[in-house]
Amino acid sequence: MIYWDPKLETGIAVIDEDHKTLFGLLNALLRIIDDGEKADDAALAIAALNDYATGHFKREEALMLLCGYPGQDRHERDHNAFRQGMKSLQHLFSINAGMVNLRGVSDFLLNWLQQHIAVSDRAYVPKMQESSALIAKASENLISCTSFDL
Amino acid sequence: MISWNETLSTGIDVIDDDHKFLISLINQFAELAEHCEDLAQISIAVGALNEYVLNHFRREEILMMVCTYSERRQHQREHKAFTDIVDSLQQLYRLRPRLVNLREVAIFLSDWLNSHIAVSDQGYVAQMRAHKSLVDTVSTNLRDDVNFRFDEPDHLRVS
Repeated sequence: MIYWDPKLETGIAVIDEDHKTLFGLLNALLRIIDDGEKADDAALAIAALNDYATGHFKREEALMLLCGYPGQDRHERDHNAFRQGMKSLQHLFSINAGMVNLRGVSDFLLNWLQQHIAVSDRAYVPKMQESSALIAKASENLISCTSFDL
Repeated sequence: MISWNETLSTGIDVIDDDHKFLISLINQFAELAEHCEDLAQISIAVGALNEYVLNHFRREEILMMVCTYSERRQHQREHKAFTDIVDSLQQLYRLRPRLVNLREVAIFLSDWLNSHIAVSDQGYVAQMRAHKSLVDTVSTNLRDDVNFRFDEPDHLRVS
């Protein structure tokens, strides 16, 4: 079980909500692993996490673009590497679950998320705060396209 | 570990030679998966396997085409499924090596290759024999291809 750390908050509501949801989905996966990892359940939990992460990355990238964040390219490369790796993981897992080290996956996901939020996401916060009115307005639209609700 | 035996033979030399080489690559990978802690060496072994598999599949698909083997589309789909798996393996390994259970992967790849050669590849043997002279001529060209090789790459040798 992992807990949301308020230190990870960016102060941008739509993003913080997404991050908390990602932690919630990661907890769902951890529970399945702790319960002795039924491969079907683990596959669903991984898929839910990936799908939500993909939507979240899109929202975040839209906000970075709006506020003219100069580190966007690099940030998107991090997102893409993560997405590509997770897609491969899902694929291998679906072919033969034994090929994937699930405990390693949960450690990796937790570390990656914490690190990404604490460092990479932190970096765009000042730029988004400068454009806070615009970000708030755009966030309303982004929230209405959020398709996943816990 | 796969060991070459006559039941794996197709009787088409260029293909049998490819299969023998593939088996040696996969056995080397299995050996590394078991004992090796050197991540770079494992990446190289997977890369070599991936590259050789792509070239071998291409040669086999050319021969299936020239002898008008009726099941070649299905056979190509099997090839594609396999190369997709190896791709995913490389991607995931690149992201974090520890996420991959190398031993399980080695078992999976060995079993796949063994059964593909023993079952699916046997499917085209009769048709290739029926077009022997054409297959022989095309095989000669395929052997001239720069990608065709039997020398065990030094960096893969397991010490």
